[in-house]
Amino acid sequence: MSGVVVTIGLLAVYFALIIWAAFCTNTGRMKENTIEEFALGSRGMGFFIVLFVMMGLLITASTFASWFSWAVHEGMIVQYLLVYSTLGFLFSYVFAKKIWVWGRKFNLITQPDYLELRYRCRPFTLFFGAASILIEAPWVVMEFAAMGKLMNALTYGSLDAKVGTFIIGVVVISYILYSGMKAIAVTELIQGVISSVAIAVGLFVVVYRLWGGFGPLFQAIARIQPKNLTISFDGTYSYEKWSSFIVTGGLGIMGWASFFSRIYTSKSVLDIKRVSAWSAVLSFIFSGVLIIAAMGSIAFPDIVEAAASETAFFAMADKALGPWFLAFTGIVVVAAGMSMVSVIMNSHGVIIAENFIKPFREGISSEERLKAARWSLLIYSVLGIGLALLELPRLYEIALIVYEGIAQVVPMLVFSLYWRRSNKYGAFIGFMAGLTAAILYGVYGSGTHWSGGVIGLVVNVVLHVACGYIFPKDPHVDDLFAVIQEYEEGGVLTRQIDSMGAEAG
Amino acid sequence: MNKQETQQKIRRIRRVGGILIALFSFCLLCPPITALFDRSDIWVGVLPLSQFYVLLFTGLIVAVLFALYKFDAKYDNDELEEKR
Repeated sequence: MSGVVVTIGLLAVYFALIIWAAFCTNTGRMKENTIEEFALGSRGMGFFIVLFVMMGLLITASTFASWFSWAVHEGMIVQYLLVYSTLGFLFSYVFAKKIWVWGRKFNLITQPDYLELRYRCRPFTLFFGAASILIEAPWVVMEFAAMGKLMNALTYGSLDAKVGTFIIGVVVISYILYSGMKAIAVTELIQGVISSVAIAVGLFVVVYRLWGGFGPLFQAIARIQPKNLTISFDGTYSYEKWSSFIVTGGLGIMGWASFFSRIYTSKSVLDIKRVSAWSAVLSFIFSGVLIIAAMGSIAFPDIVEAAASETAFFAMADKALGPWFLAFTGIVVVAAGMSMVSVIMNSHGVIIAENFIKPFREGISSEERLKAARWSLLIYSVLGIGLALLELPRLYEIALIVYEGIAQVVPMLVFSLYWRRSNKYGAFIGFMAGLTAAILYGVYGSGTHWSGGVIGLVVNVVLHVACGYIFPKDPHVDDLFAVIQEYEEGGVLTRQIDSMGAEAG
Repeated sequence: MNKQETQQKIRRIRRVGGILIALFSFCLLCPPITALFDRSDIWVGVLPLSQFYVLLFTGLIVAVLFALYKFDAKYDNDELEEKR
């Protein structure tokens, strides 16, 4: 059977499975038809689903396209990915409790909802909602573009990349519009299981098949291009740059509106801690083997050549285990991309409905909010796919710039959780100044090797703290912290609470 | 062990875990330390030193985080048992 038939056949089976799971299973169907169910799956998702949803936001199609190819060419520097994802899950472990408790108690659905609760400033909430959408939206465009390229590679060039983007776009939009987070959850479960088996196990087999093990792999790199075994890539990258990538990336994870609101989907504080701990373990193993395999690919000229068009991962899969494995890895990569865009699109559609439409329409019913979320999501997705069909520069370069901006959200999140004097002035001034510093430094800066994002973080933190001492403490803050204290005194982290304060073991 | 002692033990374990994670993160993020380990001419087993450095410190952070989770889960379970 020819390679094209195998890959197209398996992709068709995969799409059919996803559509069946989203539209025909009980788990994928919405039952209450409320905005809460559409956005958060009614806040009752189990461990495996939340785990795969969170992992799906970190391991994306771009990881297999851009980052893999980058690691083929430049080696160790790309391992910042391994470190920052570990730190990102560490932060979600540490911050989960307060975010979850306030989310439950006050029925929060989005990240801007959280800031409205903490800072009580409508204009800032609106501004922040718009900023978070604008900062994250490039990822949707990047992922759609990456998935199109991957479809093109998987079908050995017989399917145009833009047609690939379009087909995937239609599938994703249809199931999110149908039942939002419920459909995402059930598709994530399928995607997660396939990915874990095909990639985690498959990559180890690839390493032994192509290089004869990890030792010979590193020996091969040392022989062909030893500078790929140094983080600095023989002086091309400064160590400050390495640290900057990790700091902005790791902190940036908590800044993602789509990642943040996933904390609300979990059943309990302990569940979200369990997800964070397991995600750290899995992403450490998975990202580690993936990047090491990419680095070793420098030994094969045909894979290096494929890296120029960001399809080195597929060239490696095909070379190691043939068209069947290529098709499986293709499914995994497309699944990773679909997983990420579906969560972000869902999150952004809900932000538009909840933070931009609901506050200006008094007495809007849950049904109308749900309708508004679906329309917002549709318009947003069509725009995203449209942009993905245009010519884009190298994808990871866009992502690195985006992270500089996302990281500026984090000081206000951390201070709002732990410091009662943190106020709206500090949050707004710090965020704006940090973002401006990051952009200006990115464009004009030189002198130190730290990135604009890190310089922006320093400015952001200094101004936030200064405003905390200049302006008085908000009067409502003590009540919010009293809620946390009350929860902590209860002790048990699997305990449930609701907005009325009722508790159940 | 009474409630107060348990609380103290919890705080101590979390503090130690936090300090260890901060220390390992510092080792990964401090440019002079990274420069020190960024060598491809020294090998630790089958790994070049730079690779060993990234895997060791990141792995240690993951291990401490997982140990903290196991501890939280155990404590939570004990509390639940006690309440029952």
